[in-house]
Amino acid sequence: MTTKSHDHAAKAKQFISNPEKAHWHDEALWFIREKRDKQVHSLPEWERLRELASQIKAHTISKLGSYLVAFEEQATALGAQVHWAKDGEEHNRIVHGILKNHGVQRVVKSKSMLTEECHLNPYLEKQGIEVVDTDLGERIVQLRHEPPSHIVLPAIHIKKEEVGELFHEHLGTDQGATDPDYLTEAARHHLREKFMEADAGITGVNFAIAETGGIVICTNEGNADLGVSLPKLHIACMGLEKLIPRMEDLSIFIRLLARSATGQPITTYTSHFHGPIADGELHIVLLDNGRSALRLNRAFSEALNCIRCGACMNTCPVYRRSGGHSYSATVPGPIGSVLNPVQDAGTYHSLPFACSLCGSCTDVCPVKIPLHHQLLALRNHIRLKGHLAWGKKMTMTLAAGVLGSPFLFRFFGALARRVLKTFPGLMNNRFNTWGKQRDLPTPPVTSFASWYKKNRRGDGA
Amino acid sequence: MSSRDDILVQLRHSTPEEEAYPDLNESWTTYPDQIVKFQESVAGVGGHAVRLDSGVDLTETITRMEVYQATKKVASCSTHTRIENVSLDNISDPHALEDLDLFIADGSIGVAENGAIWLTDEKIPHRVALFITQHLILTVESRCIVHNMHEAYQQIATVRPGFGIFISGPSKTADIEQSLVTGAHGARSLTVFILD
Repeated sequence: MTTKSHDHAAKAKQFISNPEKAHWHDEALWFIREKRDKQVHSLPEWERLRELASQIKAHTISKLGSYLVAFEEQATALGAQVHWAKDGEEHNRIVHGILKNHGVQRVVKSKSMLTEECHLNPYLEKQGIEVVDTDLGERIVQLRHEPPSHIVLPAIHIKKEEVGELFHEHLGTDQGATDPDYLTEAARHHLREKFMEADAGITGVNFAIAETGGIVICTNEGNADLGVSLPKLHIACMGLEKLIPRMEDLSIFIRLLARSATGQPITTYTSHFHGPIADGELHIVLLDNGRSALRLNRAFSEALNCIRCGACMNTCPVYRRSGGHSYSATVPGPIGSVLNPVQDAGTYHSLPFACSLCGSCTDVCPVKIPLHHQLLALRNHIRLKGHLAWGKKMTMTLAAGVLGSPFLFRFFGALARRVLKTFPGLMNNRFNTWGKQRDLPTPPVTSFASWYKKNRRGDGA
Repeated sequence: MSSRDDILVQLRHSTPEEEAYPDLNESWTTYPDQIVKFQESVAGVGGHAVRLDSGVDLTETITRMEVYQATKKVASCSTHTRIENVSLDNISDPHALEDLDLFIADGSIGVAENGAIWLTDEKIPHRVALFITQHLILTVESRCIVHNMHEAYQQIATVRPGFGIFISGPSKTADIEQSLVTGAHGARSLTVFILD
């Protein structure tokens, strides 16, 4: 991505410069939130499931080392090969090494936010390997040379007219065609060719089971399954936090995942891989990339519970109105506003402020990550690290002084009531972003304190 | 030290206090008639579930279906019908199934809450048949339909090496403007026969 600025507000401004499209984006995501609610209300035990999911994750994270070793042992016994990568660079080297050993020229990849996090595609392309993203939304953004804007709905920011133009250029569909059925059919034929030609399939992982050594992948399109059932080589890339202890834990997580993500009772395909395909190879790459450090960060470690459903994005009033790209990060939205600045406060310092603290993300999170509490705590973390913008720092220092002194509070209150009536421009000007699209309310005649003294004092109420 | 050792050392270091593993044994939602609920759920995810009376012949029922009549290449790994003109046993390269029109297989569990059907590749020599086929027919015995995912996972807790999958409805996508389109990469239609 060629982003110069990581400032959320600046990028959001670009997004809302097209109010019609911004409104459409907002509505599209709210539609999914409503579908989610319908599914949730059909299950009386929803809150219990969330509670259990959160407990299972907390337990797993607390014993992550021994569960990873158990997983490795079981997976190896089933004939899979397990690799460990400290960071994205090592991850990419491992994946390329496996592909090189097999003389692979063409790879089909199903959706994996982890390989986005590691920037695997450009790395492999540089080595002369063709990588085709096979999830329809991911293929669309890949052809547009841009990153996904949402972790579950990668092309949620793109209109069908734009897809039509893109497919006309790359897949030879009719000019001006915008029918989703027609465009999806064209993509089906285009990607079938890619599936038939591929020498290897790369996938992400939704869950890895310590007890059995198996991995689970959930898709609706069937692209992961097609991609790893034709070639003999399957490389599955996963973050350390995808582990769960037992097979039966899936009964909790599978019930939560698709309902939270897209409002479906389950994804079309929930595939369980225990060992490689006959006469083939299965490689599982375990990636740390800051996860083991996050685990020791007590204030934010619950973010490791995340199962990447995207529900916090669909419900977030800021995400819906500013678009995924405004976060300049692989994982956007509320969870991204926690994960990214915890790792790199200097680059992502604006994200925890792209939040109204409404708490809706916390309410919908299927694994009970206290997202809005973490976002509030992060603001202080960013201040302590010295990344707070100058204007915010000044305003906060001034506000702390005035609000901390009854005398100054009374004095400035009285001053403001008198002066702002005549000169509202003192507050409502181009330097005060709160004044944009908002009118200053008419200042009251008296303060609440003096009104109370006059009207209520002494009546014993 | 290898990256494996580095990561494991970091994970063993000053572990947060250990959290207990919860007991998952609870009374989960059940339905008055799980077979009816299963049929509703399959319909809800874009499939079609038909209950076949014990006297009715499956092969004959399939031959009357529109998807069968338009079919050129059909394969079956079902023990209930051998209706097929290509046998997966005689194929060595799964790419040869590119033009498969219809595939029939047996599921071992049906789940009422979400219309999902569990099957493994134990009896399917090339699992790609499930995904590469244009249309898919699955069977499930009525006594194997459970209420919810907890009951389902209790039955598949002991895993054999290989591949197992829940399939719920036909392949679908909504990646273009949230318009639901069936037949993304996998089967364009799913018919489930519930056998007594």
